[in-house]
Amino acid sequence: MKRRDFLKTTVVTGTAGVLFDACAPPGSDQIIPILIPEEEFIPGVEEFYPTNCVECPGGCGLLARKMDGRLVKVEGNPAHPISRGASCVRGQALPQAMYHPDRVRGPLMREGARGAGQWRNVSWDDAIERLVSELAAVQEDPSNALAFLTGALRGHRLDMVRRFTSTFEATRHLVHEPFGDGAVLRAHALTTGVEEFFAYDLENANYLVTIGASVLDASRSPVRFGRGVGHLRQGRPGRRGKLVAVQPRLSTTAAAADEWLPARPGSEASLVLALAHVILRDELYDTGFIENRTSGFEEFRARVLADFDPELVAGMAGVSVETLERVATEMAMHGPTIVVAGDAAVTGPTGLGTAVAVDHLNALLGGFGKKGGIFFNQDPPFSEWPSLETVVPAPEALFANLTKESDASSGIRALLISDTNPVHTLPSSAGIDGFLSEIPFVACFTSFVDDTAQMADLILPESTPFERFDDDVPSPSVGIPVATLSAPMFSRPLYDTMSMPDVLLRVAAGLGGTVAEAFPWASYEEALRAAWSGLHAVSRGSVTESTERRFWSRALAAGGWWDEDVALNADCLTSDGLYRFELPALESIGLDRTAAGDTSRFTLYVYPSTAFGDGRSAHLPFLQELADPMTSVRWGSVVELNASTASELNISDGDLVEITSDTGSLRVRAQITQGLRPDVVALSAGQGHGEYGRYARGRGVNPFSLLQATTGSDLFEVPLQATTVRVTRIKETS
Amino acid sequence: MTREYSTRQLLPSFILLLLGCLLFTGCSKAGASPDQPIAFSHRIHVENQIDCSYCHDYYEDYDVAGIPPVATCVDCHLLMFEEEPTADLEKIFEFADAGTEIPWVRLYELPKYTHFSHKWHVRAELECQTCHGEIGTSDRAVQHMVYNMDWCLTCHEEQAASVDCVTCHK
Amino acid sequence: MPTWGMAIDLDRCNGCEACVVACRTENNVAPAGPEQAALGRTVEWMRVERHVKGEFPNVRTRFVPVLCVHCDDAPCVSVCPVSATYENPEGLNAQIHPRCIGTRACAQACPYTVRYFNWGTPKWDAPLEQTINPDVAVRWKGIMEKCTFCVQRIRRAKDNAREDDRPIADGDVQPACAQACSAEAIVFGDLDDPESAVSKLSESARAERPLEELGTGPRVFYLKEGDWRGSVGPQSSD
Repeated sequence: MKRRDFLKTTVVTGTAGVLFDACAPPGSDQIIPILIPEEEFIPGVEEFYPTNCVECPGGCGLLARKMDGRLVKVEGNPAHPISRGASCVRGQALPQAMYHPDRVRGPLMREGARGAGQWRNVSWDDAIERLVSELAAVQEDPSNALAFLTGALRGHRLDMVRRFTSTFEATRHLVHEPFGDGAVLRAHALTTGVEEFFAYDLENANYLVTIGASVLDASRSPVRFGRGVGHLRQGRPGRRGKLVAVQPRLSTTAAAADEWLPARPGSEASLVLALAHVILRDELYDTGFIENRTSGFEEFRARVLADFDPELVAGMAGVSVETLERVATEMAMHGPTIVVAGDAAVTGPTGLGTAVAVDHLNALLGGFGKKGGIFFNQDPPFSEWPSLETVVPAPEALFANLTKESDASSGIRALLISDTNPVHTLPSSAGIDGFLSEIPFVACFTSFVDDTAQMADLILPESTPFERFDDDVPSPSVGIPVATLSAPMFSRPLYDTMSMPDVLLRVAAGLGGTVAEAFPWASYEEALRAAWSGLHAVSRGSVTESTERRFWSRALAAGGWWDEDVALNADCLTSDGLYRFELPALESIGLDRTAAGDTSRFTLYVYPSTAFGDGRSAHLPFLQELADPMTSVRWGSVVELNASTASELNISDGDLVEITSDTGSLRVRAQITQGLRPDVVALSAGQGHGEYGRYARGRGVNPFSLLQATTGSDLFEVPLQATTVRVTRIKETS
Repeated sequence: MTREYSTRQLLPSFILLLLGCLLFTGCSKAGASPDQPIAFSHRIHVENQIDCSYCHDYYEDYDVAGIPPVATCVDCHLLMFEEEPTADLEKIFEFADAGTEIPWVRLYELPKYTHFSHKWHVRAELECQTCHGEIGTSDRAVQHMVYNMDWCLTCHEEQAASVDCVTCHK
Repeated sequence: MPTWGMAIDLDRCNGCEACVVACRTENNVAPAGPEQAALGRTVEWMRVERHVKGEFPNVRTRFVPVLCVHCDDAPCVSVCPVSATYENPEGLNAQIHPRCIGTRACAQACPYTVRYFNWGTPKWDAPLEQTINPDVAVRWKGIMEKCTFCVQRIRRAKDNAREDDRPIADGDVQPACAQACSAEAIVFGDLDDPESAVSKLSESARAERPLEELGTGPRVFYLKEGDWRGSVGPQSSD
């Protein structure tokens, strides 16, 4: 039977759906409606527009694929030094953020009580007018303060916020970034004088140890680390590097690692110093670096040799002496070696100590400034905006403010919020609700009504990165100056939205006087261009042009500017230029043996989710549908319990359990795993939103509600492994 | 052994046969000519020496042939002074002044699970008329014929073009 | 004429699942939603399997990205009553949606469990349908679907090569999964070209084909994890 005869037969017996589709009458409209009518396009022709990703600190440069006037796909920008063409689950899901059904489509003003979720649509003119009048009230009375609460912003967005706050007499910049690794920054400042994340030459390293940081799944810079570790593994014929992960839970990173050391939460600093002990004792450290480039070594050595013998640490940490000895020797003998710290391990009472100890271990191994080692960030040479005779408020951790001060909100008359969701990612016991309720006016810049925006008086809808001008300076970076640049890829935003810096410009103009003078630009695009003229002026790097205008066009087309010819450096910025073996931070590390005690309580370990991060990507259905790499959970949450622990508690896989801390409780399904310490219970951050669109609302559980707001911490984050909980079975699965 | 079937038992087969007949005739849609927002006549334009590519200017280089934007119509018609201007000619300017495109009703549509590229067919030196019939001599745009797979395959086989399914199926 | 194939290096793969979401957005695979996902009806042309061995603390994990391996002698092809799936001259195992009548015999026959059935009409809450890639058909209820090795990208690369009057170069075609992978674990190309990256990887000592003992003739090679032996000398890497 010839093909066409066969086809005639099958078509007769085909399904009705096929018949009608194949015979669609001419004139029937089967085209996807074009939402932005002015878009000009040729069907079938693809166009790529550079943009930057702001979902995590990684700061990947991306390319957005536009077809038929629509954003249909996101790729990494192959030229970008961070992403080099790759991307992650969250970047890949970004088109859904642009066309999400629950995006805020225009400014909203609160009706009814705060938190009731009743809004009325207002125009931008009305919204700006309200902002101006509220901020004018701040200016009028010296006892009134403006507070700007943000996440860890980067690039000129951060500069805009700092500039704006500085134009007010009484002003504060509060920061809340739950997995921000603030202790690492503080440690770097103490040891090297450089308060920025280090750059790691993973591609030339042989041994990588991560203390707590899930570097390959959700921490800091997963795409860059994915590439680096991939190369470390199989990118150099004949050489295969090793990855060791020290975490209480088998994360994706630990699962991909060659060795997993399940150290007890809180013991990481001691473990790191035990490794240092072996290296010091056996004199395996880099003597050249120590003698010429450091200070305080002798005191450090004496302290570590006295107090951190592996014999003393092993039992407390739950990692054998033999393993500690072996890993320490491997690190010293099979370098170049890099040690990284992050996530829960750098939070809580021992957090800073852990971060400092890791810096010291890297110093012993002599990695600073060497191939396969550690380098410092180099800022792109932007032009400075006109200087102001004002004082920029130093950033304060919101969490520390709430837990230390009795009345954290006192004096704050107006609060502006951008890029952070503290109502979701703070322990309820920290008092965020009370804090907000004391503040007369709260406005939120956001594309979606999330848990925090729900409590605002005014919502200012943000344009997505695909619809706005923006820049970014990724941190951590790769040791060379990198600046990402993005421009709108559509003729106008999808909805009546505006980017936060542009709103600030309009408000500044409305306020007049010194505030307006501080912002001499008609648009954020103009402000960016002014700053970027400095990159043109240096006449080097990935974009060089004869005129500034041509430079700007080329930089926009390329998605940014970077300079790969710059020599990497690890020059300490301490007063004497030497690496400092700082000791006081280590005082907080006790060899506390309180492991014995209440065995009915477990340490609650909270970690960032691969799909949702700290929760900011939970609104995207593609990511809810994704099976978590370690738990396989879709559209929900589980609590992980160690198998032997579960059997002792008579809990089976899938049972509903109640997790109770001193400050809260929640109910969730249990999942039994071998990849967890028996004395630890693990919950992923990201779910349990009260509000965040239809796909995230009321879904799963939020572990932040259980965490204790322990006092005495002046760091940026909530302690993520310093809370103990009880676990009780509620009922069995049917 | 003989068997007898009741009408009820035979009904599904009748329905299937009926549907099959409909399909055999290609849904009787050849010759369809939907009403367009402006009574555009290809014949008049062709007689005035306007080449297909003047308006449908993408077929040599892209998958689509392209429908001209209203600006293309305005370019000429703004400077023409017809002896007997029709109401339809005025409509061009109504659309142009409103800043909207003329909402032409689509005539040729392939199933959405297929991929078709004008570019390669034009470069294979097919004439427009081969697939679109004598549209150049018609006053009303008429769908020349039903494009079913059989029709496409006939030509592909004769011309030794690809008959691999994924060439056209998305 | 190329024979398309893929190599996946399990020593590079870290289980991040970027490939899973990249495939979903490229190929218009709608999420099933919470209720249908709970019934196991998630359609995931590329999925990452997690194989775990051992007991705490000696746990070994392997992440395996699983997709259609475009068999040379595919069980799904021989079992389909309406020839809705076939092997094309370039080795692709292609699914022709309008032919499929939804017997699901192919899903039964496939030993890799990489064929997915549309139990319902794929749903896009407006305006999420704007993200639909026009290069890929949107499927409908009652038919099967699976990985196509991003045939639309192959088609576009061939188009461009023909336009420029040159052959397709190695690396011109990157399926969405390979492009997204930060670890560069997924490599795609012409197995008939001995100089192509995928050919070279397929000859690695670490390379093996999944379930090849079944005689399916898979065109995806998995490279096993290497070993760190405590030296910088030759190790299990190539």
